[in-house]
Amino acid sequence: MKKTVSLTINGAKIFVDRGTTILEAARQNGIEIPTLCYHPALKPLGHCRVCIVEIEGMEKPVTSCDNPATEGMVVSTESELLEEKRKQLTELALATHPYKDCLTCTRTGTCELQDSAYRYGCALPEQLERDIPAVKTADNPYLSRDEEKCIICGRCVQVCRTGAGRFVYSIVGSGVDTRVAPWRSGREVSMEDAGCIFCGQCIDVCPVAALSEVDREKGGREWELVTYPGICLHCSLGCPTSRHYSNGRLVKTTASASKGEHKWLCRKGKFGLNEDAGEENITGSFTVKDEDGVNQNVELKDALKAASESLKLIKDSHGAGALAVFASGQLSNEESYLLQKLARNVLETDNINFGAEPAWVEAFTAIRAIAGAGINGPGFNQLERAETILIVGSGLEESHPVAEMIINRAGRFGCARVLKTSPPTEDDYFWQHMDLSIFYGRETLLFSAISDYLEAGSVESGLEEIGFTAEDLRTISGLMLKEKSYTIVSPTFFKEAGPGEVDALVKMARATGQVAPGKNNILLLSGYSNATGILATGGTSYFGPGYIRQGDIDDTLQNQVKGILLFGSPPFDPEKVKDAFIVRVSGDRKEPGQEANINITTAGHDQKEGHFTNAAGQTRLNDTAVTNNTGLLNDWQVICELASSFGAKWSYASLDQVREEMASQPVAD
Amino acid sequence: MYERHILICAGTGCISSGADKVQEALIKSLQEHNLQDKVRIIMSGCHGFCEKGPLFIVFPEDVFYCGVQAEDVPELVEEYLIKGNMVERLLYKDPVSEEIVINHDKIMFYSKQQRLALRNCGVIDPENIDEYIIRGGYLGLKNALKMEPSEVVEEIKSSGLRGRGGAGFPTGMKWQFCLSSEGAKKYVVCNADEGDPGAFMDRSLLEGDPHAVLEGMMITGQAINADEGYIYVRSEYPLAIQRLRTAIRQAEEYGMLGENILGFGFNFKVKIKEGAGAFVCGEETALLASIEGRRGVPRHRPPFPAVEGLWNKPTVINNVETLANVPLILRRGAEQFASVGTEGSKGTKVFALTGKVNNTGLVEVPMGITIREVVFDIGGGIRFGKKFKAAQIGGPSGGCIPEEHLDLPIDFDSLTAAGAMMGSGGLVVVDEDTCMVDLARYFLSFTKKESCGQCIPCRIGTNQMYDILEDITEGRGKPEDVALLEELATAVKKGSMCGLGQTAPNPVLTTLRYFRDEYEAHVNEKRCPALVCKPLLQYYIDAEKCIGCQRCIKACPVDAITGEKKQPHEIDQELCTQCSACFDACPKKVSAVVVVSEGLKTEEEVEVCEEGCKCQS
Repeated sequence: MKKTVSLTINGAKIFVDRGTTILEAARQNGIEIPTLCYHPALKPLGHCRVCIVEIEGMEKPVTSCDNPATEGMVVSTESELLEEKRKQLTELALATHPYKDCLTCTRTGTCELQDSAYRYGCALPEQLERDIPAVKTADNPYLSRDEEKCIICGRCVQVCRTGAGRFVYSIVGSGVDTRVAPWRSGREVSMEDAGCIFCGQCIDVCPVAALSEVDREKGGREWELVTYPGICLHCSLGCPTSRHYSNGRLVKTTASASKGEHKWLCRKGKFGLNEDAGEENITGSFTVKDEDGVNQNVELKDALKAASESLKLIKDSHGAGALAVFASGQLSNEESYLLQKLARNVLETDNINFGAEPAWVEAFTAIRAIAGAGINGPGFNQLERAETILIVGSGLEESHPVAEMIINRAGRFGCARVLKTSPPTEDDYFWQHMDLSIFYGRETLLFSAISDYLEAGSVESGLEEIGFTAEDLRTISGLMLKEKSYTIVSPTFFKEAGPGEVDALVKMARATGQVAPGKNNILLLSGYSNATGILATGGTSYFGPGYIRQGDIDDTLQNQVKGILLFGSPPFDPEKVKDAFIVRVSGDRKEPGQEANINITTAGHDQKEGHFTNAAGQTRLNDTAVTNNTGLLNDWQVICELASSFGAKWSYASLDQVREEMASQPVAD
Repeated sequence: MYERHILICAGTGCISSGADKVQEALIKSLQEHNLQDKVRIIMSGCHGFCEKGPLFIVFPEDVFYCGVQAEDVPELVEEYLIKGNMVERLLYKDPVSEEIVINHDKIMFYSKQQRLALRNCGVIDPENIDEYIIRGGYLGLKNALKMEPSEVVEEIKSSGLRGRGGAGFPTGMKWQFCLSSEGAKKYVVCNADEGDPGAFMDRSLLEGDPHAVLEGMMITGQAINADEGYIYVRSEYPLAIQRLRTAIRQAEEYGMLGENILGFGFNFKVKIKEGAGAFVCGEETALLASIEGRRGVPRHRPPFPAVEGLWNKPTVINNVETLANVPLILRRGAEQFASVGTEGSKGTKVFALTGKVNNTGLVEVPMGITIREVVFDIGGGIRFGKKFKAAQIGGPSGGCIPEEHLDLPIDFDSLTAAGAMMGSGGLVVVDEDTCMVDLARYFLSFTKKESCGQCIPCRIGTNQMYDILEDITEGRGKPEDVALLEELATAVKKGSMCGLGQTAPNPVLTTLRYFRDEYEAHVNEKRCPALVCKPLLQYYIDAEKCIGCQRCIKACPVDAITGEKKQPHEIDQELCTQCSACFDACPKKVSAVVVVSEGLKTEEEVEVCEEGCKCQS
C-alpha cells in the first residue's frame, strides 16, 4: 500500500501521508478550515460539526476533523452552503452560551466561539433554558469552572485522560442539560476528590472561558498579553512553556511545544511561577553582615565590592584551594560556563560543584561512555510508545510530575507494562503494572538478578525467600529485553545510592540492551533542574566544559575551605562550613537568612535569558520576558562583575558572545 | 398421556394483566377435578395480542380464549374442559363484524400475519430447550458448522436479509466486512437495547424464543470466526434476562454453547450485559462504549465496528430480530427466505402495532404488505369508527405516513422515500383526534431528552425545535416559525453525528410535509383543527342544550362557570383554563359543553380593557 495519498482541496492537488485527516491535510497546505472542538494535540471527536467540508460524490457535507483523506478525494472547504451551515451551527452553540458576558470576559478576542460568531456574522439567538449550575465554581486555589460558558467540546475531558492520565471530568446528563463535571463513583465531587492534580492542561485547551485560572479575571485580556517562550525549572524535565505577561506582570503560564516535543505541564509548571510571583513583597535585597553578625542593607555595588574583597582576602591568605564555588540547579548553561570559568581561571580553584547527586553524575557519565557522546536518554515521545517501563526509586509524582503523567498515559492508554519498585498507589490500578516493591530500597538485588540471568542464564537469584521466583525473573527479563523498553530512575534512588548500586544499574542497562553504543533508553533524573546542562558546561570539579575530565568525583567541600561563592540554596550542610565566609547570590526573593555573610539578590528565573538542558538532553531557550526593571542584575552579570573586580579582562557585551565562546570549546568523546 | 395442552401466554404483557394468577388458578382447579395428568399447562412466550391478554389457548382443538382472569378459570375448566361447552364471553369477538371467532388462526389479527421470526413465540415453552430443538432448533447451527465461514456469509448474502434494527444494512455484507477484517479475536454482539417507546418485539423474542437468538449469534460466530458474544439488553427487561440466562445454561448443558460445539471444534461463549436504558445506547458505537464500561455515547465512523469494534476488535452487531431470522435461513435455505418479501427487502418484519386501532399488539408481516392491510385488516380498523389520519412508523425517529400513502408497501426503501423509516418497528396509528403538531412535539420531547449531548446540532437543535413546537402548540407561534422549524430540522438531520440526531427530526419533517396545513392553522389562525392544543381551544355552553344541572360549575377548578339552577350556564373565557373538566362533567345525553378552536384574536383585534391589559376575552 502506498504511504501517501493524493487529493484535491479547493482545486489544488496535494499529497499527504495515508491516515491524515482531511482537516490536517488542508492545514498542512495552508488551507484553513474553521473548528470549534478540534485541537491539534487531541483525538478529533467531531462534536461541533463546524469543520464540515463538501466532498464530490457525497450526499451531504462531512466533518473533516475525523474523516481521513483518501486517494482521489475532491474536497471543497468553502461554499455558500458550508458558510450557511457553519453559521447555523455557531448560532446553535450561542444559544447555550452567555454571549452577553463577552463584554467582560477575559477570553474576548481569543475565544474560539466568538471568533466563529464574528466570522459568520451570526445572529444572536435567545438563550435556551438549561438545568446546569449557573455560578462559577472554584473549589480549589488553581482552577475555576464556569459551566454556563461550556460548549461541551470535550477537550478537557480528553486532555485529562490522555494528557494527565486522570479521569477527573465526565460528560454527564443528556440533551441540552449535558454538562462536564468532576465526577467520581456516579456523583459530582470536588476537583480534588475527583483525582485532580491541578496540572491545568484543561484550562489551556478550553476554547472558551469555561475553564480559567483562579483570579484570572481582570488580569488582562488574552490579546493584551505578551508571550515569551520559557523553560520550566521545577524539575530536570525542563518542560517548554509560554509565559504570558500583562504590563510586565506574569499572568499565566501555559504549555508550549515545537513539533515532536511533549506538550504538557504539571501543577508546578503551570501555577508555580505565579505562586512565586505572589511573594513579591520583597523585591530583592543586598546585605552585608556587620561585626555583630547582623545583616545590614547596602547598595548593590557595595555588596559586590565587599564580596570580591572578602574572597580576594581569603585567596591571598589561604590560597585558591580555600575557595569553593557552588552553582545552583537553576543556572543556565551560559551562566554555568561563566561560573566555572570564574572559578578555574579567575579564582583559580578547582573546587566547583553544584548539588547534583554524585551517584547521578556517575551513572550519567558511565552511560554516556557506553552510548557515546550526544546519545541522550529517551524523550517523552519515546516513553509514550514504550512496551516496558521500569521505574526505579519513588516520588516521581512530587519530583517529576510530568514524567509520572507520561508513565500514566503509557500505562493506561499505550501498551506499556509498568514495573515499579516503589510501593503501589491507588492509580496503579489502571495500569498493566507489575509490583516490584519487594525491591524498594534494595534495587541492586533486582539489577543483579536480571543481569546475571541475561548474561549467564542464571535463574538462581537467591531471592525466593523474599517472594521473587525464577518465573518472575524470566518474565521481567523478557520485558526488559523488548525493543521499546525503558528505565526511569528517580532522584530518590540517586540520593541514597552508592557506587555499587550505580554499577549494578549500568550493568543491567548493558545486559538488557537498553544501553548500547548509539542507544540510550535510560532516563536519569537528578533532583537538580539544569543538572545535565551544568554538568556539560563544566560546573563540577570533575569535568570541565564538554565533559573534559578534570578530577575525581570527590567531596568539593574540603576542610580547608574558608570562602564560598554560592548560587541559590546551599547543597551542603551549613554546619560543616560554620567558619567559612559565604557570599550568596540568589534569585530567591525571600528575606535572606543568616547563613551567608553577603547576600546579593538577582533577577528571577523568568527574567533570565539562557539555555537549559533537560534530562533527555534537549536544550531549549528561556527567553527574557520583560525588560529587567527590577534594578536587579542577572546571575551572569554578577559573575562578570566579580570577574572584573578580580582583574579579569572579560568583555561579554551579551550572552551571544558567551555562546560563541562555548561553541568553540572541545567536547570529550 | 396428556389429552390437552393449554398455552397460557407468559409474556410481560400477559403477566402484568394476571397470567401467573391464571396459571395458579388453573393448577388448583385441575387438581380439584383430578385432571392434572390429563391436561398439560405450558407457559409460553408472547403471542403478540397483548391487548387481549391474558391469552388461554386450548389444544388440540385450538380454542382461543382471551382476557382470562383467575376467577374465570373454574368456569373454563368445568364448562369447557369437562362439559365441552364454549365459554362465549371469553372468546374473541371481531371488532368489525362483531362475530365470535373460536380458532386462533381464523382471527384476522393472526390470519394476515406470517410468523417467521416469531415462529416459536407463544408456541413453545421458552424455558425448555427440548421444545426449541423439536421445532427444528439448532439445525441451522449444525448446517452452518458444516460450512466454511465464507459460505455462511454467502448464504446470508443471498437470502437478502437486512438488519432489523432500523437502518436496514445488508446483514451478509456486514458479516463479510468483519470476516475480511484482520485479527484473531472477534466478537458478536446482539443489540437488545430496545429503546423505542412502545416497541417490544425484541423483548418478546427474547422472552418467547431465546434460543433462536443464541443460535443466530453462534451462526454469526461461525461466519466471522468469533468465539465470544455479548447480548446487550436493557435492565428494564428482567424476564427477558432471566429467560436468556436459563437458555444459556441449558444450551451449555447440552453442549450447544461452550467448547467443541456439536463436535465440530467450534467454541462460543455468550455474556449478558445489562444496559441502563439510555436510548442512544441502541446506536452501535454507543452500545460498544457502554459494554466497555464507558459512557454510552456514539463515536465517529469509520472505523466501523466490523473493523474496529468491541475492545477495538472486529465486531458484528446485529439486532435481536435479525439474529432470530438467521437460524431459519441456515435451516431452510436462503432461497426459501428470499421467497418472502419484495425485491429489496426480503422476509418479514415484526411491528408493534399501537394507537387508535382496534387490535393492538405484536404483528409479523411479510415485507411489501401495505399499511392499509396492517391497519385495517390486522389492526381491525380505527377505534370508534373514527377516521384514519396517519401511521407513525419507526419509533420516535420515524415519520408520519398520511392517508394518501395507505397503499404504500412496507419495505425499507419505500418507507425511507416517504420520509419515514422502518426503524425497529414501532407503528402508531393516529386518527382524526390527533393533532400532528402536538404529535411531533411529543416525539421531540423524547429525542431531545435522549440526545447524548455530544454534538451541537442534536444537543441544541432538537431543543430549539422542541421550543418552537411548544410555542406553536401553545398559541405563541409566529408565521416565520414554520420555515425556521424546517430549516432547523434539516440542519439537525444533515449535521448530527449519529443516527439519533440524523433521524430525530423525521416526525417534524414528515408532518411538515404531509400536514403543513395544521401547522399553518396553529401559527396563522391560532387554531388547532384536531382540538388538542389546549391554549388554542375555547369552551362554550350551548344555552339551548344546557339543562342547568350545575355539574360543570362544581367541576370547574377555577370557578369560571356561573349560572342559576335550571338556567343556562356560562363560561367566563377570561378565567377558563381549557382544562376540559366541564366538558367531561356534562352528561353525555345533554352535551351542552362545546369545544371549538376558532382562533385566538390577533393583536389588532384584542381590545385594551379597562385595566389596560390585552386579554383575549
